Amino acid sequence: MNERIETLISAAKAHNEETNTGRRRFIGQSALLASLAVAGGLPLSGLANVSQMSSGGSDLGILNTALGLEHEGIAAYQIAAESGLLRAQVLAVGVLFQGHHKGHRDELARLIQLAGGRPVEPKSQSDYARAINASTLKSQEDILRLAVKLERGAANAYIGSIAALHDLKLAQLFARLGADEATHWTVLNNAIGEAIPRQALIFG
Amino acid sequence: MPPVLTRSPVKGHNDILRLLLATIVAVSLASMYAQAEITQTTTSPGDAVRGKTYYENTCAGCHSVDEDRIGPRHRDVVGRRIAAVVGFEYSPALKELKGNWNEALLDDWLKDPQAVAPGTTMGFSVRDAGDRADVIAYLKTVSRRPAKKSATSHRAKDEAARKGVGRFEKCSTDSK
Repeated sequence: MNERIETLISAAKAHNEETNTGRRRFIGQSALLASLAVAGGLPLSGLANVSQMSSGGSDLGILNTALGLEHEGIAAYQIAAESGLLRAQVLAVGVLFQGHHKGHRDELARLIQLAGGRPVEPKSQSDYARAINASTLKSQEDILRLAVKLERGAANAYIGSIAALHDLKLAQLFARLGADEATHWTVLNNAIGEAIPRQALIFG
Repeated sequence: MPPVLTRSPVKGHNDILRLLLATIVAVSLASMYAQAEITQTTTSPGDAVRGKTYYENTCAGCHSVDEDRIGPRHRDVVGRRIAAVVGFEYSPALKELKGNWNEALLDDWLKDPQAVAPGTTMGFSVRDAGDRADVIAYLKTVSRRPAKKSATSHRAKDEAARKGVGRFEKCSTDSK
Protein backbone atom coordinates (compact mmCIF):
# COMPACT_ATOMS: atom_id res chain seq x y z
CA MET A 1 0.00 0.00 0.00
CA ASN A 2 2.92 2.36 0.77
CA GLU A 3 4.22 2.19 -2.81
CA ARG A 4 0.77 2.89 -4.11
CA ILE A 5 0.41 5.88 -1.82
CA GLU A 6 3.82 7.23 -2.82
CA THR A 7 2.89 6.90 -6.49
CA LEU A 8 -0.28 8.78 -5.75
CA ILE A 9 1.61 11.45 -3.87
CA SER A 10 3.94 11.97 -6.84
CA ALA A 11 0.93 12.20 -9.11
CA ALA A 12 -0.70 14.65 -6.72
CA LYS A 13 2.42 16.81 -6.64
CA ALA A 14 2.65 16.83 -10.42
CA HIS A 15 -1.03 17.66 -10.55
CA ASN A 16 -0.53 20.49 -8.06
CA GLU A 17 2.21 22.06 -10.10
CA GLU A 18 0.08 21.74 -13.20
CA THR A 19 -2.94 23.13 -11.36
CA ASN A 20 -0.99 26.07 -10.02
CA THR A 21 0.15 26.94 -13.51
CA GLY A 22 -3.41 26.47 -14.74
CA ARG A 23 -4.76 28.52 -11.85
CA ARG A 24 -2.44 31.42 -12.66
CA ARG A 25 -3.53 31.22 -16.28
CA PHE A 26 -7.20 30.96 -15.19
CA ILE A 27 -6.91 33.94 -12.84
CA GLY A 28 -5.41 35.95 -15.66
CA GLN A 29 -8.22 34.93 -18.01
CA SER A 30 -10.89 35.53 -15.36
CA ALA A 31 -9.56 38.98 -14.61
CA LEU A 32 -9.67 39.77 -18.30
CA LEU A 33 -13.24 38.42 -18.63
CA ALA A 34 -14.36 40.34 -15.54
CA SER A 35 -12.85 43.53 -16.91
CA LEU A 36 -14.63 42.98 -20.20
CA ALA A 37 -17.91 42.22 -18.42
CA VAL A 38 -17.74 45.32 -16.25
CA ALA A 39 -16.66 47.47 -19.14
CA GLY A 40 -19.47 46.15 -21.31
CA GLY A 41 -22.09 46.18 -18.54
CA LEU A 42 -22.69 42.43 -18.88
CA PRO A 43 -24.17 40.44 -15.98
CA LEU A 44 -21.85 37.85 -14.50
CA SER A 45 -22.98 34.46 -15.72
CA GLY A 46 -24.95 32.40 -13.22
CA LEU A 47 -25.48 35.00 -10.56
CA ALA A 48 -28.80 36.34 -11.78
CA ASN A 49 -30.66 33.06 -11.37
CA VAL A 50 -29.22 32.32 -7.95
CA SER A 51 -30.09 35.77 -6.68
CA GLN A 52 -33.69 35.11 -7.64
CA MET A 53 -34.03 32.18 -5.27
CA SER A 54 -36.41 33.01 -2.46
CA SER A 55 -34.98 32.60 1.01
CA GLY A 56 -37.58 29.92 1.71
CA GLY A 57 -36.98 28.04 -1.52
CA SER A 58 -35.96 24.41 -1.49
CA ASP A 59 -32.80 25.17 -3.48
CA LEU A 60 -31.56 27.35 -0.66
CA GLY A 61 -32.22 24.66 1.94
CA ILE A 62 -30.43 22.07 -0.18
CA LEU A 63 -27.48 24.45 -0.61
CA ASN A 64 -27.25 24.79 3.16
CA THR A 65 -27.33 21.02 3.58
CA ALA A 66 -24.44 20.82 1.12
CA LEU A 67 -22.61 23.46 3.12
CA GLY A 68 -23.12 21.36 6.26
CA LEU A 69 -21.62 18.42 4.41
CA GLU A 70 -18.57 20.48 3.47
CA HIS A 71 -18.13 21.71 7.06
CA GLU A 72 -18.05 18.08 8.17
CA GLY A 73 -15.59 17.13 5.42
CA ILE A 74 -13.21 19.93 6.42
CA ALA A 75 -13.46 18.89 10.07
CA ALA A 76 -12.87 15.22 9.23
CA TYR A 77 -9.64 16.04 7.37
CA GLN A 78 -8.60 18.28 10.26
CA ILE A 79 -9.18 15.47 12.77
CA ALA A 80 -7.17 13.15 10.53
CA ALA A 81 -4.36 15.70 10.19
CA GLU A 82 -4.14 16.17 13.95
CA SER A 83 -4.35 12.46 14.74
CA GLY A 84 -0.62 11.87 14.37
CA LEU A 85 -1.46 8.71 12.44
CA LEU A 86 -0.73 9.97 8.93
CA ARG A 87 2.62 9.81 7.20
CA ALA A 88 3.81 13.15 5.87
CA GLN A 89 3.04 12.38 2.25
CA VAL A 90 -0.45 11.13 3.01
CA LEU A 91 -1.00 14.18 5.18
CA ALA A 92 -0.08 16.36 2.19
CA VAL A 93 -2.80 14.74 0.09
CA GLY A 94 -5.27 15.13 2.96
CA VAL A 95 -4.48 18.82 3.23
CA LEU A 96 -4.90 19.18 -0.53
CA PHE A 97 -8.33 17.55 -0.41
CA GLN A 98 -9.32 19.62 2.62
CA GLY A 99 -8.44 22.67 0.56
CA HIS A 100 -10.92 21.54 -2.10
CA HIS A 101 -13.62 21.23 0.57
CA LYS A 102 -12.81 24.72 1.81
CA GLY A 103 -13.23 25.95 -1.76
CA HIS A 104 -16.61 24.21 -1.92
CA ARG A 105 -17.59 25.73 1.42
CA ASP A 106 -16.71 29.23 0.29
CA GLU A 107 -18.60 28.92 -2.98
CA LEU A 108 -21.72 27.49 -1.32
CA ALA A 109 -21.68 30.13 1.44
CA ARG A 110 -21.27 32.86 -1.15
CA LEU A 111 -24.28 31.64 -3.13
CA ILE A 112 -26.42 31.26 -0.02
CA GLN A 113 -25.64 34.82 1.02
CA LEU A 114 -26.25 36.04 -2.50
CA ALA A 115 -29.71 34.49 -2.36
CA GLY A 116 -30.44 36.23 0.94
CA GLY A 117 -29.98 33.13 3.07
CA ARG A 118 -27.87 32.55 6.14
CA PRO A 119 -25.06 30.03 5.67
CA VAL A 120 -25.16 27.28 8.27
CA GLU A 121 -22.33 27.55 10.79
CA PRO A 122 -19.95 24.69 11.45
CA LYS A 123 -20.44 22.61 14.58
CA SER A 124 -17.69 22.16 17.15
CA GLN A 125 -14.74 19.93 16.35
CA SER A 126 -15.80 17.60 19.18
CA ASP A 127 -19.27 17.28 17.63
CA TYR A 128 -17.70 16.25 14.35
CA ALA A 129 -15.33 13.85 16.10
CA ARG A 130 -18.30 12.12 17.69
CA ALA A 131 -20.31 12.16 14.45
CA ILE A 132 -17.60 10.36 12.49
CA ASN A 133 -16.70 8.08 15.39
CA ALA A 134 -13.13 9.39 15.45
CA SER A 135 -12.27 7.52 18.64
CA THR A 136 -12.19 4.29 16.65
CA LEU A 137 -9.42 5.52 14.31
CA LYS A 138 -6.23 3.74 15.30
CA SER A 139 -4.16 3.70 12.12
CA GLN A 140 -3.54 5.46 8.82
CA GLU A 141 -5.57 2.80 7.05
CA ASP A 142 -8.53 3.37 9.40
CA ILE A 143 -8.45 7.03 8.45
CA LEU A 144 -8.18 6.31 4.73
CA ARG A 145 -11.10 3.89 4.90
CA LEU A 146 -13.21 6.48 6.70
CA ALA A 147 -12.23 9.09 4.10
CA VAL A 148 -13.21 6.70 1.30
CA LYS A 149 -16.61 6.22 2.90
CA LEU A 150 -17.21 9.94 3.47
CA GLU A 151 -16.06 10.96 -0.01
CA ARG A 152 -18.21 8.33 -1.70
CA GLY A 153 -21.19 9.42 0.38
CA ALA A 154 -20.55 13.05 -0.48
CA ALA A 155 -20.30 12.33 -4.21
CA ASN A 156 -23.57 10.41 -4.04
CA ALA A 157 -25.22 13.13 -1.97
CA TYR A 158 -24.42 15.78 -4.58
CA ILE A 159 -25.36 13.66 -7.57
CA GLY A 160 -28.51 12.37 -5.89
CA SER A 161 -29.67 15.90 -5.09
CA ILE A 162 -29.38 17.33 -8.58
CA ALA A 163 -32.89 16.29 -9.62
CA ALA A 164 -34.38 18.28 -6.73
CA LEU A 165 -32.79 21.57 -7.78
CA HIS A 166 -34.85 24.09 -9.71
CA ASP A 167 -31.95 26.23 -10.88
CA LEU A 168 -30.00 24.54 -13.66
CA LYS A 169 -26.85 26.48 -12.84
CA LEU A 170 -26.99 25.13 -9.31
CA ALA A 171 -27.51 21.67 -10.76
CA GLN A 172 -24.35 22.16 -12.78
CA LEU A 173 -22.52 23.32 -9.66
CA PHE A 174 -23.66 20.20 -7.80
CA ALA A 175 -22.38 18.06 -10.67
CA ARG A 176 -18.99 19.78 -10.39
CA LEU A 177 -18.92 19.37 -6.61
CA GLY A 178 -19.87 15.72 -6.97
CA ALA A 179 -17.09 15.23 -9.52
CA ASP A 180 -14.55 16.65 -7.05
CA GLU A 181 -15.75 14.24 -4.37
CA ALA A 182 -15.61 11.37 -6.86
CA THR A 183 -12.03 12.33 -7.69
CA HIS A 184 -11.12 12.22 -3.99
CA TRP A 185 -12.84 8.86 -3.65
CA THR A 186 -10.98 7.44 -6.63
CA VAL A 187 -7.57 8.42 -5.26
CA LEU A 188 -8.31 7.20 -1.73
CA ASN A 189 -10.01 4.01 -2.87
CA ASN A 190 -6.95 3.16 -4.93
CA ALA A 191 -4.67 3.98 -2.03
CA ILE A 192 -6.31 1.40 0.22
CA GLY A 193 -6.12 -1.16 -2.57
CA GLU A 194 -9.83 -1.55 -3.22
CA ALA A 195 -10.81 -2.63 -6.70
CA ILE A 196 -12.42 -0.27 -9.15
CA PRO A 197 -16.14 -1.15 -9.30
CA ARG A 198 -16.91 -3.36 -12.28
CA GLN A 199 -20.36 -1.96 -12.93
CA ALA A 200 -20.96 1.28 -14.76
CA LEU A 201 -22.74 4.26 -13.20
CA ILE A 202 -20.68 4.04 -10.03
CA PHE A 203 -22.27 7.03 -8.32
CA GLY A 204 -25.74 8.42 -7.90
CA MET B 1 -61.32 -37.56 53.83
CA PRO B 2 -60.59 -34.18 52.23
CA PRO B 3 -63.27 -32.93 49.81
CA VAL B 4 -60.97 -33.01 46.83
CA LEU B 5 -60.83 -36.76 47.03
CA THR B 6 -64.61 -36.98 46.93
CA ARG B 7 -64.76 -35.50 43.41
CA SER B 8 -66.08 -37.96 40.93
CA PRO B 9 -63.72 -39.40 38.35
CA VAL B 10 -65.92 -37.89 35.63
CA LYS B 11 -65.57 -34.34 37.01
CA GLY B 12 -61.79 -34.78 37.26
CA HIS B 13 -61.78 -35.93 33.68
CA ASN B 14 -63.64 -32.75 32.65
CA ASP B 15 -60.99 -30.62 34.34
CA ILE B 16 -58.29 -32.37 32.39
CA LEU B 17 -60.26 -31.82 29.20
CA ARG B 18 -60.67 -28.12 30.01
CA LEU B 19 -56.97 -27.84 30.72
CA LEU B 20 -56.17 -29.62 27.47
CA LEU B 21 -58.56 -27.38 25.55
CA ALA B 22 -57.08 -24.25 27.12
CA THR B 23 -53.61 -25.47 26.23
CA ILE B 24 -54.63 -26.10 22.63
CA VAL B 25 -56.21 -22.64 22.39
CA ALA B 26 -53.13 -21.01 23.92
CA VAL B 27 -50.79 -22.85 21.59
CA SER B 28 -52.97 -21.96 18.59
CA LEU B 29 -53.05 -18.27 19.56
CA ALA B 30 -49.29 -18.26 20.09
CA SER B 31 -48.84 -19.88 16.70
CA MET B 32 -51.13 -17.33 15.06
CA TYR B 33 -49.26 -14.51 16.77
CA ALA B 34 -45.92 -15.89 15.66
CA GLN B 35 -47.25 -16.21 12.12
CA ALA B 36 -48.43 -12.60 12.25
CA GLU B 37 -44.97 -11.54 13.39
CA ILE B 38 -43.36 -13.39 10.50
CA THR B 39 -45.83 -11.85 8.07
CA GLN B 40 -45.11 -8.41 9.46
CA THR B 41 -41.38 -8.73 9.07
CA THR B 42 -41.55 -10.15 5.58
CA THR B 43 -44.01 -7.73 4.01
CA SER B 44 -41.16 -5.68 2.57
CA PRO B 45 -39.69 -7.23 -0.57
CA GLY B 46 -36.42 -5.45 0.12
CA ASP B 47 -33.14 -7.17 0.89
CA ALA B 48 -31.62 -5.82 4.11
CA VAL B 49 -28.09 -6.93 3.18
CA ARG B 50 -28.22 -5.05 -0.11
CA GLY B 51 -29.85 -2.18 1.73
CA LYS B 52 -26.97 -1.97 4.20
CA THR B 53 -24.48 -1.71 1.34
CA TYR B 54 -26.57 0.96 -0.35
CA TYR B 55 -26.91 2.82 2.94
CA GLU B 56 -23.18 2.78 3.61
CA ASN B 57 -22.30 3.86 0.08
CA THR B 58 -24.91 6.54 -0.25
CA CYS B 59 -27.00 7.55 2.76
CA ALA B 60 -23.88 7.56 4.92
CA GLY B 61 -22.78 10.72 3.13
CA CYS B 62 -25.05 12.60 5.52
CA HIS B 63 -26.46 10.07 7.99
CA SER B 64 -25.35 7.42 10.42
CA VAL B 65 -27.30 4.93 12.45
CA ASP B 66 -26.29 6.20 15.87
CA GLU B 67 -25.08 9.79 15.48
CA ASP B 68 -26.70 12.98 14.26
CA ARG B 69 -24.70 14.36 11.36
CA ILE B 70 -25.94 16.43 8.44
CA GLY B 71 -29.16 14.50 8.91
CA PRO B 72 -30.57 12.83 12.03
CA ARG B 73 -29.57 9.40 13.28
CA HIS B 74 -31.51 6.43 11.89
CA ARG B 75 -31.60 4.07 14.85
CA ASP B 76 -35.29 3.18 15.42
CA VAL B 77 -36.42 5.37 12.54
CA VAL B 78 -39.04 2.87 11.34
CA GLY B 79 -42.05 3.53 13.51
CA ARG B 80 -40.58 6.69 15.00
CA ARG B 81 -42.59 9.89 15.12
CA ILE B 82 -41.56 12.32 12.37
CA ALA B 83 -38.95 14.94 13.36
CA ALA B 84 -38.58 13.39 16.81
CA VAL B 85 -34.83 13.03 17.37
CA VAL B 86 -34.13 15.17 20.41
CA GLY B 87 -31.42 17.75 19.78
CA PHE B 88 -31.55 17.57 16.00
CA GLU B 89 -32.59 20.79 14.28
CA TYR B 90 -35.19 19.84 11.68
CA SER B 91 -36.36 22.11 8.89
CA PRO B 92 -39.74 23.80 9.37
CA ALA B 93 -41.05 21.70 6.48
CA LEU B 94 -40.37 18.48 8.33
CA LYS B 95 -41.55 19.80 11.68
CA GLU B 96 -44.94 20.45 10.12
CA LEU B 97 -45.43 16.82 9.14
CA LYS B 98 -47.44 14.70 11.55
CA GLY B 99 -47.42 10.97 12.06
CA ASN B 100 -44.82 8.23 12.14
CA TRP B 101 -42.29 6.89 9.68
CA ASN B 102 -43.90 3.73 8.35
CA GLU B 103 -42.71 1.81 5.31
CA ALA B 104 -45.07 3.46 2.85
CA LEU B 105 -44.15 6.94 4.01
CA LEU B 106 -40.44 6.12 3.98
CA ASP B 107 -40.81 4.88 0.42
CA ASP B 108 -42.50 8.12 -0.64
CA TRP B 109 -39.88 10.15 1.24
CA LEU B 110 -36.92 8.41 -0.33
CA LYS B 111 -38.51 8.64 -3.76
CA ASP B 112 -39.00 12.41 -3.55
CA PRO B 113 -38.48 14.21 -0.23
CA GLN B 114 -39.55 17.53 -1.70
CA ALA B 115 -42.93 16.07 -2.69
CA VAL B 116 -43.56 14.82 0.86
CA ALA B 117 -42.27 17.92 2.64
CA PRO B 118 -41.84 20.82 0.21
CA GLY B 119 -38.95 22.96 1.36
CA THR B 120 -37.16 20.21 3.25
CA THR B 121 -33.39 20.56 3.19
CA MET B 122 -32.96 16.99 1.92
CA GLY B 123 -32.59 17.01 -1.82
CA PHE B 124 -31.26 13.49 -2.22
CA SER B 125 -33.66 10.95 -3.64
CA VAL B 126 -33.52 7.22 -4.36
CA ARG B 127 -35.06 6.80 -7.78
CA ASP B 128 -34.98 3.02 -8.01
CA ALA B 129 -37.88 1.29 -6.22
CA GLY B 130 -35.76 -1.79 -5.52
CA ASP B 131 -33.07 0.30 -3.86
CA ARG B 132 -35.72 2.02 -1.74
CA ALA B 133 -37.15 -1.32 -0.64
CA ASP B 134 -33.66 -2.54 0.23
CA VAL B 135 -32.86 0.55 2.28
CA ILE B 136 -36.16 0.32 4.15
CA ALA B 137 -35.52 -3.36 4.83
CA TYR B 138 -32.14 -2.39 6.30
CA LEU B 139 -33.61 0.44 8.36
CA LYS B 140 -36.06 -2.07 9.83
CA THR B 141 -33.13 -4.10 11.10
CA VAL B 142 -31.86 -1.10 13.09
CA SER B 143 -35.31 -0.30 14.42
CA ARG B 144 -36.66 -2.06 17.47
CA ARG B 145 -40.30 -1.81 16.60
CA PRO B 146 -40.81 -1.90 12.86
CA ALA B 147 -43.98 -0.25 11.71
CA LYS B 148 -46.56 -2.30 9.87
CA LYS B 149 -46.60 -1.64 6.17
CA SER B 150 -49.53 0.55 5.39
CA ALA B 151 -51.96 -0.69 2.78
CA THR B 152 -52.24 2.74 1.26
CA SER B 153 -49.56 5.07 0.05
CA HIS B 154 -48.72 8.35 1.67
CA ARG B 155 -50.29 10.23 -1.20
CA ALA B 156 -53.47 8.24 -0.84
CA LYS B 157 -53.51 9.22 2.83
CA ASP B 158 -52.93 12.81 1.88
CA GLU B 159 -55.94 12.56 -0.39
CA ALA B 160 -57.90 11.12 2.50
CA ALA B 161 -56.72 14.00 4.68
CA ARG B 162 -58.16 16.46 2.21
CA LYS B 163 -61.44 14.65 2.66
CA GLY B 164 -61.19 15.09 6.41
CA VAL B 165 -60.08 11.60 7.36
CA GLY B 166 -56.72 12.69 8.84
CA ARG B 167 -53.41 13.39 7.18
CA PHE B 168 -51.52 10.33 8.28
CA GLU B 169 -52.88 7.07 9.50
CA LYS B 170 -51.06 6.31 12.68
CA CYS B 171 -49.30 3.01 12.71
CA SER B 172 -49.22 0.45 15.46
CA THR B 173 -46.06 1.89 16.98
CA ASP B 174 -47.56 5.26 17.61
CA SER B 175 -46.01 5.63 21.03
CA LYS B 176 -42.48 5.77 19.61
